[in-house]
This record gives sequence, C-alpha cells and structure tokens, in this order.
Amino acid sequence: MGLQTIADANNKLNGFRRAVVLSDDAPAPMNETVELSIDSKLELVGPVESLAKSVSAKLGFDEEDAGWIELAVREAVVNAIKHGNHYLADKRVDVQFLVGQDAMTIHVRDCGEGFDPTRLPDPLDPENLLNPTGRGILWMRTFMDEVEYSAHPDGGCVVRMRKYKRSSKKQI
Amino acid sequence: MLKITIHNEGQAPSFVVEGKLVGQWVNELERCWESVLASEPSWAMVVNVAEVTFIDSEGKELLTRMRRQGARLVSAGCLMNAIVAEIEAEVKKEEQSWVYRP
Repeated sequence: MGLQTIADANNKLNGFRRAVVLSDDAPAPMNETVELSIDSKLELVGPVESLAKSVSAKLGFDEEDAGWIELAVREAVVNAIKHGNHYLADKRVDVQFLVGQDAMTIHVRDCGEGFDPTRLPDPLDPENLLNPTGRGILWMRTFMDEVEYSAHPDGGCVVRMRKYKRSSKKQI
Repeated sequence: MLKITIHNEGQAPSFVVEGKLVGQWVNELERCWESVLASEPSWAMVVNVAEVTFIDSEGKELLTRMRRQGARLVSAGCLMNAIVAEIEAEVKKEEQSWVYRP
C-alpha cells in the first residue's frame, strides 16, 4: 500500500524514528558467564544464593521469579554439598550462571558419584508426606522451567536448570 | 567471564578471582565478599587477583575497598601487579595521614 499524503509519509517516518530510539534504549543482549566455586560447607551457600538472586534480578526477572531461582539454586547447592560431596570440605561445588538475553541457565556440579533421579522416593506419596527431607528436587522442578541431571565427563554430577523470563516463555 | 572461587580452609577465607572484573560483575563479587565477611569476619582475608585479565575503574575501586577492610591482595602479571601497587600506595598514603601527630 502506497503513501497517500505527505502527512502519511511523516507519520511513517516518525514511527520509524521512534522504533530506532526504542531499539537504542533497549538493554544490550547479554551473553555472560559468572562462576562461583566453593568448599563443601553449608555456610558458603549464602554467597551462592545471594549471587543467584542478584544475577536474576539484573537479567530482568521479577522479584517472585528471582526468589524461586534463589531457592532452586540453594536446594541444588545444598544437595551437592550433602549428598554429592558428603560434606567433605576438600571436594568443591562449582556453580555456573549463564546469562542469556531471555533465560538464565545454572549448572551446579559436585564431585559425587551421581544418582538416578527416577529412583528417588516420591515426596508426594502419602507415605512420604511427613518425611522432613526429599523435597529438594521436586522444588527445583517446580521453581525452574527445565531441570536435567547428567554426569560430568571429568567426574561428578551436574544439575542443569533453566528459567525463562516471563516475556519469552512462549519459546519453551 | 568472571570466576570467583571461595576457599574457607584454615584460619581465613580466601577469594580467587579470575577473568574480567568489570561492570555489573563487580557488584556480584562485592556481594559475595560481603556475604562471606558477614558470616566469617576476618581481617586476614586473602584476595588473589593474579588471573584477572581485565579490570575497570569500578573493579579497582572494589579492590581498594577490600584492601581498606584488611584484605591482602595477591597479584601476578604486569597489569594486576601495577593495579595492586597503585592500590597499596593509595591505602598506605591514607593510613599515614591517619597517624596521630600531637
């Protein structure tokens, strides 16, 4: 469809200018990595939680999602210290935050032998409802959009979690 | 990329910082630092910046604040040796100006 008048042309041009200005104001695409490596000590979970919350807030996650991410990371790191490294201080837990434009991916690696998540007891089973432990993986799966477990080629178990920003959830 | 390694063995916690200490990641390092300092207050904390490949003014300011709080900065290579030497000189100058002269 052609432009009928000079006013039409000006409107079109102004729209284009606005689009250019908006794209200049938009945050730059982020593809950064921040890693944190800690001894297997529960008192060092705090810095990891704090980093998770702050990185997710910077990426633009709202306070609620940033809180869920923080909790999921906490669960993963506590599991790595407790079940993966059996509290052995010389064994490390490596946490990697991969910050993308529309999602954050978190890898938590321990030095353990790994495990089969399908063989864990179901925390929703009425028999396990009063069990004080065993809900960490359920929470991680509830709070994050993707959760996967794998063995690291150099040893240890890696949990990979991903959370998409609300605006990009249609891409899941 | 920024990598922070926290060792909490022995008497004092230590930080190893690797990669680019720039922009928003400076705040993340400061947050980790404050979090560890809150749980384990120590004047003898060691911050190893030998593997930092790039640092901006905010990063340098953070290292200066850490040094002022008693951290010992460990460096290697031309860039980080020069930065740490500048920080040491600045902090030393401040400390000398605090000396009480009746």
